[in-house]
Amino acid sequence: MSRDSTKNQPSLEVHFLALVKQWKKDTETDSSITRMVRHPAYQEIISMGEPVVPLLLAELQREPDFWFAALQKITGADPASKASAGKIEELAKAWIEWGRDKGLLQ
Amino acid sequence: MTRKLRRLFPRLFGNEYQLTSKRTRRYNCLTWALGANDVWWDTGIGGIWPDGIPDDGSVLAAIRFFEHFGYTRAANSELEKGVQKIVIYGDDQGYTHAARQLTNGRWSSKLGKLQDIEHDKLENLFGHLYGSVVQIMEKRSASE
Repeated sequence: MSRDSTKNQPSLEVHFLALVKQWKKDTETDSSITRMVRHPAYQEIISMGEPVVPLLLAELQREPDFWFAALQKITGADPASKASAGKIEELAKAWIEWGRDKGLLQ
Repeated sequence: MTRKLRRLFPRLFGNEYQLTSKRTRRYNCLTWALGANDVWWDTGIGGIWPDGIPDDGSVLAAIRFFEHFGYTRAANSELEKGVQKIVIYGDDQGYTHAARQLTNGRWSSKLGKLQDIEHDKLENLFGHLYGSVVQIMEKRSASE
């Protein structure tokens, strides 16, 4: 998995962004992360696997949202401390730093 | 925004609510119902949830959650001096929302990842997104 892996896949990025847009629209009134994760667009993003990780990290950097379940499911990583639970900005920061360490994000 | 909220909540009439915050993902309705705005209380990955409380998203889980913070089940949502009331909304999949009663009898709600609003009636948020009120909780203040 590398940042370059998405460079030649514009259709992947276009499709990813369409799913992100749909998910954000449909889950903006949700309080339950479980309901957000259950959304078909979110599940499709997870099913796209490792190629979308750089895109997810970039999206998290652009606008922190509940992408942590997808990132954890795809990568198996869990870089945030337990003390960050429930704190979206701290969780996003931990994942962004993880992505930089792995060379997946500038 | 008024038009958008009306589309989401068909019973949220413009003269029956006011926006009281900017949109934020920092906290959710459960947090706001408790009078806080620092974390996102939820069972999913990214949320925080008290140990020993059911984590299945059910209405019972929401009831246990508020019991954890000292609330008990209440018979009605009438305004009572010295009593803080919270209502839990739900549908056939579990709890969907919680709102806190203000001292003037109105209700304060954090709408998912959107804003906080103050609204006149519990029915303002009834509909396909939040269902309806499934449980009322209350906590008496220490001085009462």
